[in-house]
Amino acid sequence: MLIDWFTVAAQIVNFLILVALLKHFLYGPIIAAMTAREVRIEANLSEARQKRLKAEQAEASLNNRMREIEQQRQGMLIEAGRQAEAYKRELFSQARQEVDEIRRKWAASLQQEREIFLKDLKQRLVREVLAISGQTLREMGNVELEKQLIEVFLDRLRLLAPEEQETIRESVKDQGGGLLINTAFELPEEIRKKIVAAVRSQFGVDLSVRFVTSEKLLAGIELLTGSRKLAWSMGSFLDSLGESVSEAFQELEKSEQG
Amino acid sequence: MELGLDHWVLCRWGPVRLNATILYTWLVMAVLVLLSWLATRRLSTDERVSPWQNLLEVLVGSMKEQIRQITQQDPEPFLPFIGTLFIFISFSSLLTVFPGYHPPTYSLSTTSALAVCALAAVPFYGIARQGLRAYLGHYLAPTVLMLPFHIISELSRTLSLSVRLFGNVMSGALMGTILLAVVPLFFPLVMQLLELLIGQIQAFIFAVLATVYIVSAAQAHEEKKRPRVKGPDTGNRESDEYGGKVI
Repeated sequence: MLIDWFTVAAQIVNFLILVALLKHFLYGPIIAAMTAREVRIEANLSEARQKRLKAEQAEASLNNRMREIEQQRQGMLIEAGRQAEAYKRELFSQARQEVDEIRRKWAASLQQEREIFLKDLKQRLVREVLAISGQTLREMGNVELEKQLIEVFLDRLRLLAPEEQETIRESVKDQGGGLLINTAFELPEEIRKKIVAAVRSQFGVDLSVRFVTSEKLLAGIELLTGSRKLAWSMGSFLDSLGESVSEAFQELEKSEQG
Repeated sequence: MELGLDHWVLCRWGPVRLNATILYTWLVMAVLVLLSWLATRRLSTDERVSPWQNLLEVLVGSMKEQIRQITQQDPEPFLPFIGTLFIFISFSSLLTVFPGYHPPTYSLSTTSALAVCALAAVPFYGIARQGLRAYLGHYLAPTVLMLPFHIISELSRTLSLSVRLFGNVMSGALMGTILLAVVPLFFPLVMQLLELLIGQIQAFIFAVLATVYIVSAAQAHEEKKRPRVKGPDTGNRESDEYGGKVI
């Protein structure tokens, strides 16, 4: 007999016991561990999905922010370009103004130098003209001319205004009753006496007269007291001419500046 | 020549006999329980697991997946019974690598006991799933006249299961013995390796057939209650395929 029914019954019991034991020691713990791991992995995956979702949202937010920053950057670049252009224009304007100012100053300086040069030229011209005139008169001057000039002087002396005669007279008194006759050339004696007679008849008979010569006069005669001078000479004439020309130039400059 | 281990009685207390079949069964049970305890006493639930735990998880996970593919249902209610069938038969065969060991399945009593358990599991799971009345009504369908045929079908399944497993294990042991006598060197080793492979295949076949019996009985009853829907997502195709092979 191949089948022992006692053994069959015992094996059935053994098998059921083994099922119970393995269920307790093997399947239960293993399945519990696997389930716990699955739950944990699922939780991790869920968390990962949520984090991924958050990361995607953050990425989208960052992308938006980046776009905004890029737009701001473009706007700032445009604004900076505009400001740079305005600043450049301002600098150009300032430079142009400075150049204009420098040019204006240069022109003013040039004008001033020109005026100075012209003024100097005019003065030198006057001096040269006077010098040439004086030289000419000096070369032309002689005793005959001197005599004619003395005649003119004596005529003017006689026609002198009374108040001027009085002034000279008082000046002579202040000098102790003497006066000085200055001529360009040494005068002959008769002319000297004629002059002394004319002076004494005009200003007093007791006054003393002294004669001196001076080349500055060129030609003519001067009557000198302590503080007064009565002259008719080419030198004084040229002096007064130079003064008149200088005054005329000054008036011309004033009118040009005005 | 004696077939099986039942005649090898070690102790006797009246009608109670401790024979080699029961002893080796206890040995296998002890090894299985000890290994299970050792492997599961410090289980890890995080991502880093020990190699033993990994091996057991692969084993249990593969069994669950296989049961799910066959039953198209939640495999956990079936796992302790079907899984224990597979592991017991598989380890009984694996331990033959140790000299002096004889597999309990070399006894027709053991294979019959396993077949009886499978026979009992069919109504057990059927009643648990459908209730006693509905399950028993299955034996009377479509008419009362079919009752003897249903009963014969159940018994023939049990007989075929037990004899198939016993025949395979016995043939392996006998061929090993005979070849050892004829060609003492090398060839018995190859046959021994082949026997290990056959033992694993038999464990797989026994477990799969038990699963198919359990599920086909329940589904045959359920198909009467609801219209059958064919499609890639329904659970009927796989079981029909297996059922067709068995029946």
